[in-house]
Amino acid sequence: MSKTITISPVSRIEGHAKITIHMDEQGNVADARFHVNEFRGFEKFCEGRLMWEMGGITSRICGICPTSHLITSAKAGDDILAVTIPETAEKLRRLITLAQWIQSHALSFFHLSSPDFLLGFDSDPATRNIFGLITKDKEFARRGIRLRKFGQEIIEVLGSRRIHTPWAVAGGVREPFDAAKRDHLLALIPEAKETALLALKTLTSIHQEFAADIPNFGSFRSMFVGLVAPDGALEYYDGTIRVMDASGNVIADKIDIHTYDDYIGEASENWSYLKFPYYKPLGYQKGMFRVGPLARVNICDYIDTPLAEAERKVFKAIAGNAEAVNNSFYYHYARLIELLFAVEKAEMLLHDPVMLGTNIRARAMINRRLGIGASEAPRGTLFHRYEVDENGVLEKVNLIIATAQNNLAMNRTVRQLAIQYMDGNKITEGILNRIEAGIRCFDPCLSCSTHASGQMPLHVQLLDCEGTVVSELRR
Amino acid sequence: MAAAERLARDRPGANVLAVQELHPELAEQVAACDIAVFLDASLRTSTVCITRVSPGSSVHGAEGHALSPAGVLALCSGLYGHAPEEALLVEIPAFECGFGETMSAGTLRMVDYCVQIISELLLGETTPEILLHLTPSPAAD
Repeated sequence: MSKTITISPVSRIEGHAKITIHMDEQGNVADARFHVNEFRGFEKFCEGRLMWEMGGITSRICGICPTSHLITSAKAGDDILAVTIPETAEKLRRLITLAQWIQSHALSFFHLSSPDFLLGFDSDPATRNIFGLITKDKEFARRGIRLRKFGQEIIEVLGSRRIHTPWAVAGGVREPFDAAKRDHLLALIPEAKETALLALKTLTSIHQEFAADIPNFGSFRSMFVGLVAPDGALEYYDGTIRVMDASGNVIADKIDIHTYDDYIGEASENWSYLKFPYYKPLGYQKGMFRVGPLARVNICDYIDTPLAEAERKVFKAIAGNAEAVNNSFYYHYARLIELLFAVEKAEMLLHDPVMLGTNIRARAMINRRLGIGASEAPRGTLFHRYEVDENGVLEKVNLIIATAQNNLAMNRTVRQLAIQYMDGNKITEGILNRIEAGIRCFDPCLSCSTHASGQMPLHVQLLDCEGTVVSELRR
Repeated sequence: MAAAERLARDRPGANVLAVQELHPELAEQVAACDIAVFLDASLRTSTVCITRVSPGSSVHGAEGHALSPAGVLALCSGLYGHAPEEALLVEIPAFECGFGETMSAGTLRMVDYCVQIISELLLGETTPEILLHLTPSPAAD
C-alpha cells in the first residue's frame, strides 16, 4: 500500500500551505506537492472599481510588499493615461521600490532564514527560530531588525504614512521630497550598508558548512525570468523582460512588458489555489522558470553599484561564470547581494538633486483602454494588467504575482528534497526542516499570490501507486 | 485602524502605531511602553473582546512575515530586555466585509466603545484588570 505523508502547515512563510509526499509500493517517493490552501479573489472583486483606486486596493493584498503593488498599479495607471511621468517622480518611485526590497529581504534573511543556517537544520525546532537566534547572537538579530526598519523608514518618509500610503498614483507621485527628509535618510545609510555586508559575510561563511545539503536544495535546471535595464544592468523598477536558460544563454530578450502574455501562461491544478505560470513557448511543465533574486542576479549583465557588483562576480563563479546558478539554495545569497545593492543604490539616489524636484505628476484623462505595469517585487516580477472602459472603470484585471511564478520550481524543490532525504516511511524532524527550508529559499508570499477567482474546497486524498483513491476527506 | 487613528488624534500623549501587520521592528517601540494595547478587527467575535496577552514562549507567533501580539512581546523581552508590564488584545468585531467606504453601524458603535474605554485606561480612570472583567460591549443590531 502506498502512503501519503502530510506536512501542514509549513512554517516561517507568509500564508498557509501544506506539503504532501506520495510514496509508492516500495516506499520510495513517487511525488511531492506544495499545496496552497489560501483563497483571496482580488482579480475578480476589483472589477467594477475605478482604476484610480487600484493602488489602494492592491496594496492591501499583502502586508509584506504593499509598496510593490502600489508602484506596479501606478505604472499600469500611467499606461492607461498614456503619460511619461516626470523624472523626479520616477526616481522617487525607484527609491521606494528599493526600500521595499530592503525591508523584505532583511526580514527574509534575519528573521526567517538565518535561524536555519546559524542554528543548524538538525537543531531543536523549538528554538530554531528568531528567539533561538536572539539567544545565540542578540546583536545580530537587532541589526537585522534595524535594517528592516530602515527600509520601512524610507517608505514612511516618502509616503507620509506607514501603511496604505496613497502616495504613488497614475501619472507620478502626490508629495515631493525635501532636503530634511533626504538628510535624515542619508544618516541611516552607513549602518544599513554595514549590516548588509555583515549578512553577506555571515551567509557565505556557512556555505562550506552546508556543503552536503546544498546540492539537494532545489538544484535543477530551469529558465530564469526577470526585468533588466536597457544596458543589461540589474533592474528593479522598469526595463524589459529577459529569459535565460539553465546554461546561461539568453533565449529571449528586450521583451516589451506589454507582450508578457505571449510568453507567460498560467496553468491551474486541482490541488492548489496557487496558479502555475510557465514560459509559453515551451509549454506547461517544460516551461518552468524561476523569478526573484536568483533569477535577477543570474540574468543581469552587471550591477551598477560597486560592492554588489563585486559580490555578483563571486556569485557567478559558483557555476563557472557562463552557466546560470541553478541551485535554489543560492536564492539566499542572491537576496543578500540585492539587499546590498538596494542600500548602495538608495544612497546614490538620495545624493541625486533631481530627487528634490517639484514636478512630480503628469495629469491626463483615460487615453487607453488597456494598461500594463510591471516592476520587480522582492520575490520577482510583478505584473498588473487592467482593462478599463472610457471612464476608467475596471472591466478585467490580471495580477501575475512573483510567488506564483515560482510555483513549479517550488514543487520541484520539494520533490527533490523528499527523494533525497526520505527513508522509507520514516519521516524525521530533520527531513521536515529541510523541506520547509527548501520552500523558504523562495521566501514565498502566499497571501499575495492566491488571488485567483474560483472555488476549490479543501480536499485530501490518499492515492495508491496506481492512482486509485483509497481514502478521501472533504471540507 | 479607525480606533487607532481616533486615539492618535484624541490622546496625543499616547504612542499610537497604525500598522497593517505586526512586524519585528515594532518591538523596540513597544518595549519602551508600560502598557500595550493591541487593537484588531475580528470576525470571531460579535462583541468587543478583551484578553490579556503574555509574551510567546517560543515559536508561537513568530512563524511568518508577520507576528502575533505575543510574538511582539517576546521580541521585546528577547531583544531589549523589557516588555510592557501589561498587554491587552482588544478585538473589535467586523460585521460587514463587503465593499464599502464606511464601516457598518455595529462596528462603528464598537469602535466608539473601544476608544472610550482605552481613553479611560490612558487617563488612569480605569485599569486593565477592570477592562478584562467588563461585561460584553453592546451587541450589534
